[in-house]
Amino acid sequence: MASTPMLVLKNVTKRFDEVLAVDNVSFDLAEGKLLTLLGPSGSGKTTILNMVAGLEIPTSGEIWVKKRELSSVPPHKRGLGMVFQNYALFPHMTIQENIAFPLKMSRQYTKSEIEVMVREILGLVQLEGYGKRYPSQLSGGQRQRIALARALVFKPPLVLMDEPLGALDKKLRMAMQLEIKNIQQELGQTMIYVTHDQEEALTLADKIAIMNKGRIEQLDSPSTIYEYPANSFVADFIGESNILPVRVVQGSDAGVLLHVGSNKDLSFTHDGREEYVPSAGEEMNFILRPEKVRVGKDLTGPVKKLSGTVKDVLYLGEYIKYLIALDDHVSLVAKKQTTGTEDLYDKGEVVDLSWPDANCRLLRKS
Amino acid sequence: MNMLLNAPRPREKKERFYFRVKNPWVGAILMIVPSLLFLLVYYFYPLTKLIPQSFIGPDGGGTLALFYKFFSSKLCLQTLVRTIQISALVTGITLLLGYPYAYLTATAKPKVAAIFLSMVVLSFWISLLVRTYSWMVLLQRFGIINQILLWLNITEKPLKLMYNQFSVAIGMVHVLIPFMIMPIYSVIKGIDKNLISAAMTLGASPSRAFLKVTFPLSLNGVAAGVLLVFVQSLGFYVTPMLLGGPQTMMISSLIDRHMLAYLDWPFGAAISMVLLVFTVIFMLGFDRFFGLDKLNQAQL
Repeated sequence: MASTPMLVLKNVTKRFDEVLAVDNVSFDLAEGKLLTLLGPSGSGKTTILNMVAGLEIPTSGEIWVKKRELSSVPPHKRGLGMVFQNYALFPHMTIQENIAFPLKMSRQYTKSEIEVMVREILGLVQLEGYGKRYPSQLSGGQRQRIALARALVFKPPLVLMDEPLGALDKKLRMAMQLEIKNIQQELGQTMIYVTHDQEEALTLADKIAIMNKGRIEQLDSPSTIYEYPANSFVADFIGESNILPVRVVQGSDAGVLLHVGSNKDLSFTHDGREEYVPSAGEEMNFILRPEKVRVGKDLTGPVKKLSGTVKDVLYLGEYIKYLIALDDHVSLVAKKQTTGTEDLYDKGEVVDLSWPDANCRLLRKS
Repeated sequence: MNMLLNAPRPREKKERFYFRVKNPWVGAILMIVPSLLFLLVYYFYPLTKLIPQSFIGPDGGGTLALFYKFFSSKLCLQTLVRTIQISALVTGITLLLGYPYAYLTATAKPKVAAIFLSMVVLSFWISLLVRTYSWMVLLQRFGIINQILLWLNITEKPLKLMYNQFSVAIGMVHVLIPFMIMPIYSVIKGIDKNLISAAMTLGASPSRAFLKVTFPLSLNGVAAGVLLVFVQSLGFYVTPMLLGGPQTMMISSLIDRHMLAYLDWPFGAAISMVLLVFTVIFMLGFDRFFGLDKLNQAQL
């Protein structure tokens, strides 16, 4: 099924005076999918959203929604829904009037049609009977739902969400994430969702775009991003990573021999997964997720990768974190789930370390 | 990578010691005591001396004779009606001119807004008399405006620009327009810009976004400006005296005439009472419709 994508960005760049906010970004988004733009503040994610909405004009590049080029179309003629971080509900209108606003603006519906649509969407966000209230009479979570309802009610091809849960507390945020995901899937709504919270991005997204300094570092499914980060920035940004500086001693298509820290040998079999085959002498980063590290005693043969000394033990309830020094300069973190039956290691103990090579990456220093 | 080592250390909070009054109202009341005292001595005390003169007759008994005199005098009634008319006119003109100015100032870039604002504030720094006399220079029979009109052959005779409602209104508008601009400006400035963006993404053109969102949300400022300008207009004195003539006398001039020219203090007090009562009635009516308590709220 080769349908045209709902949204296409082609070489979009945005400059604010001297600052390059968005740097030659291109991607497309298929219908019914949810894309999160994830990145540190100032990485350009909100600027991309605003350009799609029409609130900012790109310096160059093209934005297509449903085969229609939008970059010169004013926001009110784009017909896209947008949810703002502070909800942006109209304080002088009731909930009903707020939700009916886009329907009235479009001049396509009769009064009774509008009434029905408002009632339906209030049902969808589980706020039936709140129509006569004013935004100031609702809680943060309820306002958020109304803002979502207002952006959905006119059935826009694309809904843009700008950190919509940023102002809510953690528990409510998690509940709302699931709710947004459910609604999105129920309606098959295409969405772009801007956030700086990686957990939120992983929960919601079909696709995640990791942004940094106006560029997309990687655009992939959540699991690919987590398991196979494209570069050191992504590896560092998503989840926790051990990023070990290594020097390549010997490289081939199948595997490499590395030196970690003060010349400790480490072999790494990448089975040709890496697009880039390093050559001897190169300085690189070895990426290893803490939860993939096995800590043990008397591991031998190919299982054992390295050994080190336990420097610190942190008991965190669900899991235990070990800080393990490989030598005086390099250390890594191992994370073990607490099951109650596992061996525990104390500070100062020498332990062997092991991990599956499939869960590691060898990346160029960024 | 070293998340254990790099874990942020909680900053130690320094204990601060300062004098605290448990009930916040105590502090608030203490702070308004000086201004309250000032008002008592220089405002309420004179009023208690003035007001009784209006309804206590020469024999010491209460009487409404002076008010009867006021409401049966054609001149007094005309002056009262004219005062309300001119005040309404001035309020209307300041609103028409002030709203766009306030809107532009509130939505302009910071540098431009600073220039716009300083132009408003500047007029506060120039004495009321100076401003009024400048209008005389402009509007006189052979003032600048008439000379230009004559020179351009637009008129043959100098126009009568002074000593009529036109000159009074124009002078009052000039003096009072900052009181219209400032509250409207601050309310529009306080409106969340995302609301306008939201309205536009929801299909409202810029003009409809203004009509449906910005304008209704700015009405608090409009109400505050209308109240400030209208109430001040009712008691305006200097400008109508200098720029107006006998046909445009306002109620404050009438009070002045009875008190200082005729030395009829009781009747002057009675007229003052009428002005005071009208002002209070207006404010109560205003409170009924708009709510005075809402006036200093930037947003609903």
